[in-house]
Amino acid sequence: MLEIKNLTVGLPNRAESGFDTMLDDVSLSVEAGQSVGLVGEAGSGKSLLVHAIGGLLRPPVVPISGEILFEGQDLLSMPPDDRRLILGEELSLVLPGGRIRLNPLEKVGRQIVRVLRDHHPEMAKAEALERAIQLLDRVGIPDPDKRALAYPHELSGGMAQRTVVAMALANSPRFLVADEPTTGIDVTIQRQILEDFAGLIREDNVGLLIVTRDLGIVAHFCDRVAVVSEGRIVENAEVRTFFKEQQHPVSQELMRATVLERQKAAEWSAAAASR
Amino acid sequence: MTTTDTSETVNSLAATGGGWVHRLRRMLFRKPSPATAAIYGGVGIILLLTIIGPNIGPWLADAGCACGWGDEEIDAGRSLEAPSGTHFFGTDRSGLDVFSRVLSAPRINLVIALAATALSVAIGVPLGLLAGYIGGRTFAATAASEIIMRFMDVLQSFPLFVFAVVLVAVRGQSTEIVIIALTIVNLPVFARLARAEMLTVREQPYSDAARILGHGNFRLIFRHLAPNSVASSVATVPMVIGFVILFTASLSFVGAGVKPPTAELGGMIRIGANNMVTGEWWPSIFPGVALGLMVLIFAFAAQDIAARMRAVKRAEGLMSAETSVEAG
Repeated sequence: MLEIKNLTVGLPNRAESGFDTMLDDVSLSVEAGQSVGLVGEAGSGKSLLVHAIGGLLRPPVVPISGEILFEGQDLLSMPPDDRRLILGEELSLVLPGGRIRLNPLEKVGRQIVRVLRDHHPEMAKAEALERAIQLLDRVGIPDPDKRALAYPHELSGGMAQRTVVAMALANSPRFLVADEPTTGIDVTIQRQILEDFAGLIREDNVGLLIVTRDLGIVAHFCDRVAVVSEGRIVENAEVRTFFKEQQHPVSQELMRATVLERQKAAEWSAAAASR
Repeated sequence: MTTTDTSETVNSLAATGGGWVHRLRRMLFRKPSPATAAIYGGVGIILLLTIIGPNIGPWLADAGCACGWGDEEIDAGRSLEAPSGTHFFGTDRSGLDVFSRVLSAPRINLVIALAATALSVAIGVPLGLLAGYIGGRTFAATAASEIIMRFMDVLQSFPLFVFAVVLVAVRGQSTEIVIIALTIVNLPVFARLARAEMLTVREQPYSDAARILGHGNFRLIFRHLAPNSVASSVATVPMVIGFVILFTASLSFVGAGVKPPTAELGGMIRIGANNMVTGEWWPSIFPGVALGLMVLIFAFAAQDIAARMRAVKRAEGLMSAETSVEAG
């Protein structure tokens, strides 16, 4: 469904090769109904990959070669106007950071309404708002009809983050790219959102690419895991095999860095195996 | 699922405009101190005089309509009379009542100031926003942005006064030309402010977020970027109004501004200046004091507005910080 083929992203320089490589020959594919976790250390290129998918690369950072195919269409070579018909509608992204992703001068309800009506101009305002409130409710925001009238600064960090998730889910996308979607959210709400994602994958055959630094999320919610290091995908494995044994040194480092307790390691391994 | 009736929410969303309305309301509802109340009282008086000044001046001073609007009643017989019960501020050398002319002058001064400021905002802010938005994207866009901003540099590096005087000299002396000259003089101020803010705002994470939700350039600029980029321009408006009033008066003082006998503060100071040496101080001093007060009031108003905007922003920041901590 989403297929990244030999994507290289770079920063042009005067060296002989012509550019500094930021993503190096990355290939990754996510099928409908599948969820893939993207993990890696800070600065490894996870978010850069998400930016490339969303068409957010800005000069001087440019895609050098490769394709990002969404249902067979190359998002990179597509005219921006065609791409924006897909973004937010069939392919949604959740960017990290919560409140900073919301326009500080607009009520959050209005911002969700805008996402809905931009892609469906025929939708009545009242209907769109009804749906916006449902979405806020769905991501676990209490009193959604009141919160819809709040400005971003009036929401807590977690609520703002959930609003961002609600906006991504607004048009029932068929594919979701989520960059740290639950960072900074209470674990209970985190579980609620992730289970919502899992439901979408199971029932609506949605594809999910999730960037996270929480291997626990990968163990519990993903089918495959891709480890990124220094702009390359160094390991791409089924979760059940990954948590049993990591092939690449970077993966082993990651496991060692996160899993402090042997017991938790076993727990995760079991969780992954039971999927 | 919520079962609450959402019609109320729909209405409240529909009723208010964007966040500016909200911010303005929060700014206005801050309780003013006596000093700020006095400042806005002053602004109110100036506005009132703009509307009715030419009508009440002569009536108060019982001096006929000697205000430069309509029939002039020039009476050489009572020229240069000292301030008295009939002529509170005395009369000038043409026998015009200085008090009624001081009350009348804000009309022309403020009309010029408001028109020139409005025009420079209307042209300068969009130019600056455009330059800020397109700059650095493609070669052509960067070139266009640079051309706009370097043109602003040229305008700004030119001695303002000389520029305005030359324009008036070339195009003839009229209120319109004065307005145009002052508009051009203030263009760079607003273009630069708007561009500087756009440059930061366009890199804000919500700009990327809007893109990946499928918003186009148009929506992005008008809904998300522009409203977040105009705060400093708004705060600067009263400052510029004060500056333009002073500038108009200076132009008139050197004879390049509003044509006499129209009551205009700079022109009045100029007419009276000739009599200062012979001891008749009143035709110059009173308009001078009025001019100083007007500029001062607008400068204070500008400061107060900037302070209020800062306070609102800080309050929003604090709220965010507190709630973030809460959320852990």
